Amino acid sequence: MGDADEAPTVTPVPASEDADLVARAKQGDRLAFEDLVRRYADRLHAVVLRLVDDRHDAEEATQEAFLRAWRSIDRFKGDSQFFTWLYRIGVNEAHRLTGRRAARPAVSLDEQDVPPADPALGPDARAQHDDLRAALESAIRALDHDYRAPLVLRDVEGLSTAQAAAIMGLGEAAFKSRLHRARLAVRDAVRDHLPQEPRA
Amino acid sequence: MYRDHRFAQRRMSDALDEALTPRQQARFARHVADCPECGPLLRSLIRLRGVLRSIATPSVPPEHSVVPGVLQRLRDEPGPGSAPARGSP
Repeated sequence: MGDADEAPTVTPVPASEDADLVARAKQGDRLAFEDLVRRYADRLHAVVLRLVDDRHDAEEATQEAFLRAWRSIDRFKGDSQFFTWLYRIGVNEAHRLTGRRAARPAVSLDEQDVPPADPALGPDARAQHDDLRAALESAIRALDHDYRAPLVLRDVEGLSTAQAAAIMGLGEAAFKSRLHRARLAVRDAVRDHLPQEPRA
Repeated sequence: MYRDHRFAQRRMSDALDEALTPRQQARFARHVADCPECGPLLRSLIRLRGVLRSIATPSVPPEHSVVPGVLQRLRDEPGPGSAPARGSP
């Protein structure tokens, strides 16, 4: 039916490798923290970009998240994985930015931000793919942050429910409820563009 | 039938995420196989999740990486313990 919830598709590096870098960073080892930046900055940026719709804002939020993490890493207790803690800071930073700039019209993602249609597809299939992608991006942008972030973390980025709920600071039941509502809203918005069900 | 329908609607996302117990899964599958509303809904959500995963950002080419910008900002920063992290657990 789908990926098992117990088998997250996102485990960037073994947690023990992060733990060693985090322990050194806590002692003020800047080079260790820079290794964590190299591991996670682009991935965090991809998540934040889907939450703020603007490349400049996403880069600013990503930088700010790492600065906050560096300043306070001595208080990271290790109760969660480092990347969960970092993503939580990043998602909150994205939320803060979108609130501050709510009055400004959303800027579309650049062409390079979404993968193009498979070149092996024929022209009709490519056009359908592009229509679906545009409808999806629009439907995701229309979601409030509280529903958009769960959908992006779980269904686009492929984090497990437990990881994504921890990032959102929610219990799993509350997270699942928001995720389900987000899925239904996006499905309603793109239903005419989804691949058709094969006829029996 | 109605109770099964309510159950299936409530647990649709759990079924999608394979988070039902075997007993719940059996009850869910029995209902969805016959329900003209729940069956198509489940199948459309499965297709939706497939396309959502397909729009995930692929690996970033070096010229689009944000790593250099983050490192540059970090080099101007004092060490740990200088300010709180918003949202830290």
